[in-house]
Amino acid sequence: MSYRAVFCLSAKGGSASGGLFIFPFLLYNKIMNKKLNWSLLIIGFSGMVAQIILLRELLIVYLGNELSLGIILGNWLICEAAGAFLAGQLMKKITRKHEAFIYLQLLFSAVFPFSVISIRLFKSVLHMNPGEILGPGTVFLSSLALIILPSFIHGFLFTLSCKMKEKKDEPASSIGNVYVLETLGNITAALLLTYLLIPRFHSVDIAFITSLIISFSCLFLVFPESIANQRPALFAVRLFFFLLFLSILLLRGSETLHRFSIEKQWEGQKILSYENSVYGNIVSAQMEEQVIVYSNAHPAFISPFPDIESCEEIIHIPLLFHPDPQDAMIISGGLGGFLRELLHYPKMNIDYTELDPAIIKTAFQIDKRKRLDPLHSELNSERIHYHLVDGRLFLNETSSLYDAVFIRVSLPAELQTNRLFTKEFFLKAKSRMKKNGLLVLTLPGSLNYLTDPMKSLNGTIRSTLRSVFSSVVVIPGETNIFVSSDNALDINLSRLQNRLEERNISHQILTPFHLSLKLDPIYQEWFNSEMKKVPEKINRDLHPVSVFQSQSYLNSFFYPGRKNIFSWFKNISFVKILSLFFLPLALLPFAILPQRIYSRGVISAAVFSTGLASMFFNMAIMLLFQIFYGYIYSWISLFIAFFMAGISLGGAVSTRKITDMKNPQRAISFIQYCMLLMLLALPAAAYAFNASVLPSFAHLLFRYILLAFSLVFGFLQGYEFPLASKIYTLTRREMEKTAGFLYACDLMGGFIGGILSTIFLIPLFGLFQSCSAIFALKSAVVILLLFAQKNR
Amino acid sequence: MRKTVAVQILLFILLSSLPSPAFPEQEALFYKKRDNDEVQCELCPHRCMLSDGQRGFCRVRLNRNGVLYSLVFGQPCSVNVGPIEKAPFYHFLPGSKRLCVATAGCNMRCTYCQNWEISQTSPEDIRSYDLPPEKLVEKAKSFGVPTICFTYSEPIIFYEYMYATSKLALSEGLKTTMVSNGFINQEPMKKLLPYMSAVKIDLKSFSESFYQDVCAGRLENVLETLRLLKKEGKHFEIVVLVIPTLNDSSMEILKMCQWIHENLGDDVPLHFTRFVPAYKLTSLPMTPVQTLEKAHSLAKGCGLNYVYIGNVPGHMFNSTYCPSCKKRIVHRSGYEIKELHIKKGKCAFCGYDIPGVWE
Ligand code: SF4
Repeated sequence: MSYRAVFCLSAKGGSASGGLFIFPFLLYNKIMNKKLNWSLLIIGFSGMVAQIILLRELLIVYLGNELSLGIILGNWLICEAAGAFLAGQLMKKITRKHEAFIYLQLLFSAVFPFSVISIRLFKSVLHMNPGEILGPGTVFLSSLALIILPSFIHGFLFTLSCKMKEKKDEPASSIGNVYVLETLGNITAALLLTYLLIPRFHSVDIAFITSLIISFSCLFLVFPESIANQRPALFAVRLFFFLLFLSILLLRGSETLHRFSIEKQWEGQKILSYENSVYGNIVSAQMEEQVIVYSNAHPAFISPFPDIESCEEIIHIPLLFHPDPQDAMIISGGLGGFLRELLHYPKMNIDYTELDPAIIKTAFQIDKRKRLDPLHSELNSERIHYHLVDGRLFLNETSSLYDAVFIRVSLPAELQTNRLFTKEFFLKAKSRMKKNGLLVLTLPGSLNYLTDPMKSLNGTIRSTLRSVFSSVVVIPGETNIFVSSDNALDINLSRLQNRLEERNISHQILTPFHLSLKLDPIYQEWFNSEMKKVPEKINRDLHPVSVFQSQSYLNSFFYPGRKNIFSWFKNISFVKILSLFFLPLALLPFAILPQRIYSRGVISAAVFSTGLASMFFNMAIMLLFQIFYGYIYSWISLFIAFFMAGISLGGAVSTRKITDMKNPQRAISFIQYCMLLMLLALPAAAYAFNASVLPSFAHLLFRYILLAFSLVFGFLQGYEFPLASKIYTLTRREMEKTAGFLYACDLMGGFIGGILSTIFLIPLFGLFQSCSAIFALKSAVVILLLFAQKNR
Repeated sequence: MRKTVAVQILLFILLSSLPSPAFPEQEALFYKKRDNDEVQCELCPHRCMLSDGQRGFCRVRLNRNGVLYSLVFGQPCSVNVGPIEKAPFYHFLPGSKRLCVATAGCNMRCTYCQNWEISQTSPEDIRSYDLPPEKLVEKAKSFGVPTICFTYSEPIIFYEYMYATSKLALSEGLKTTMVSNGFINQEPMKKLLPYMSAVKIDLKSFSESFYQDVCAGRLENVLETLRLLKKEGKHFEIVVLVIPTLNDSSMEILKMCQWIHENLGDDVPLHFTRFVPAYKLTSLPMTPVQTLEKAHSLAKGCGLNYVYIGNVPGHMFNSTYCPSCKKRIVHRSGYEIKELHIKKGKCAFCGYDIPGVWE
């Protein structure tokens, strides 16, 4: 079930809350007391750790966005699915399964740290530009090469594990057992990664710690009773690996490798600090006298000498529209110059939040070591108040009122950042503004030519702002500056030039002459006429169309033409999308085939669609939570934990009941009905909550309702997998092939669900229509199942 | 290394042999007919060999039935007015404005291109205006600007349009400039220069491998163009965008400055510009100002007289200093000229000749 890492990563988090897992643990106490089960749990654990760590490392190298995340995960899941599937096919040929089980685990333990180092070195080895974003094609090929070994081996191990646990009388329950154990391993990994491993250790350490655990398991947990009967070579290999990893960790060989690899990765720069926060990776580096802080490999700020032109233009030009600005708020991207510009206003007080609070902490650490202006003056000013919380949440809860709110996030490219570009957020910001208050944000632009994706994105945000504020002015440039207010904003050049001079702030570039260039009516007219050519769309919390537009813009770097997947999606109607989701019905004509064959197809479709629906459901829940309550990491973790606990619980209950189950087909249909119900309940709850038709105490309750949704959907998914295995093995008694194939279906469904939900479905069609598309998919499966039952 | 560029070009050409939509076509200059309706473009050093229906690496030159056509003649996608200092031209009519013109397409593939929206796309993928040379010259006159500047993408690839417009503009009393990567063959450049008032060349690096890996071009050809400009006595300025870790080594910059000094003389204005993350190169930081200052002192050490630091507003080396009396003769702040002490091409303080186009 490794696509759960998709979920963890897309939510940019891990897992939480230990108490939750006591129940499944108790339930499986009986199983746990067997050493093989511990070993299986460790396989689940190590798979999840490898997946998350390798994905995090790859995202740093690829300067990742949602699309590269999707491609990397896709590769992982395809390789894992291929491993599981191939294992099913080859199982009969593997005569010494116990030995194979050990060797494969040891191979995995060797490959994992090797992969981490390779990821960090590959750009340097292949003489690629260190700071270049790679195109989807390169990301696909290189990530495939970099993760094929660990993911393939891990998939292979899943099927092999099922075989190791096989019970002759009930093959499906062995699959169920492994499924549950693996999920428990996943949960443990997510918990440990979040609270212990990622905050305290770097990836190379984590890889070697995991390898040590695996080698320990191979040495002491897997069939120790048969040591005496083993060939000495096998024992020697196990011992060798264990001692090797132990000595690498004890002698700090992993630290040396870590240093070496990050120096190669950031070639030409002196690394000052390297930290993994729960949100990503923060590196500070030095080039000449300049210090750069990178957040997930993107420069978050530099000091000294920021981009003076941007700082002056983005801060001061909008403030010219305000007679006397005194209170401002900046959400993200303010350090290293922008905040200093605000400090030029003698009465200005500033509230500041960052998307990743670790950036602020790193800035303070740098300031302790080295005095670098403007950073030093920003960090030591009593007029700037740093808040280590989500910006949207802060705005929701603060009672302060502002003359200007600056959003310094460059692009609404993910659901998380899009929350700062929606109508709902703008309304909230407006309610926190004083009379004459301004909302200022920026988007990518160009004075030479606006590409279609640029136009769509700028056009949507412009109309969204216009739906909230009575006056919106756009100052076109390489970066378009949007200034919005309920006060009439008039580009009266001479008045603004006078105000600029009256303020008597010393500028490097922003002179009355420069202002006349920036506010040239020719550019205004040109930009406005370009905007007229795009349909007026509104970017909303529950219909985040700008995520799609941003992704389309990023994609245009590599595929500038009009014929690409984004333009295809952009032009497709919802009816066509809906009909795509009814595609499983194409299996219906096969109902005339022998029931054995038809059943297999239907069950595969059910497992695949559940993987997809489950991923969608979780993404939708995360979206809702972030919209209503802000990005609170511990809660995001809690959702993941509840979902996975649901899976293990469902799997456990299902595995227990499976032996006596008379009609598993009916049970699996029942699960589908429940999922359909959930797909209706979620948008209904979201609507009720969003429309504020509920009493206020319900608002407090809503987060718990979402948690319950997560748990229940996880339970349904967990319950389904052993059932599906049971039906499948009834028609085809080869357990290992069943396990491999269904596992592959599950993974693929999860992968497609992840990409579809976050980039295409929810952004393009909104939450409600997206739910109906998934509802269509599950309904199609129900119809297929009905026919399968009729045929019985 | 040469293979990298060759493979890129070959792949591009192979993939480009798709049916092309209808364009207003102008027969191209500088190409040779080969057997079987093949043509070889001789405009730039890529020298693309094109079968019937294929397009060149620059995306804007098409072989149709053995005739090479320019697909962008009179079809600019960007037309706007801006300060000449933005080019940057520091020795050409300071404080004046220019009409900037560009079409789609480019014969390089720089990963940090600031105009990628137009340079890395095909003409059919963007909206363009119908502005034949006459209309363009009219437009420049109606805006009251003294100069038409061919810029943004790569003017070489819309050579025929630039050539025809420049000829006409000159006869109408306008000046013309081009902002180019200099990756052009000698013959077309020689033919163009009489109609060009000044040229700005982006010298992207002084390393052959940088040119091939990062830009899909070749250094040697650009150096040839620079030598030609010197030989023809044309006013030209060189801009070097200093990109951290890629082309910022002191050794490379020193070699470059020595070469300029030996081959082009001391008076060619040389701009070291600060890199700002752009296009695909978004993960490199801005260039440390100290690196630019080092480059500046290396160039001065080589004896170059007019060395600038660009894209660092307020920096003292944004301004021009007289090599003789050392006084500041042009005081710049951003794109604004605060003070100008050049009279008839001479330093207003000591009368020293300052190279450039001043009137
Ligand atoms: S101008 Fe274009 S077609 Fe001609 S050689 Fe250069 S790239 Fe090829």
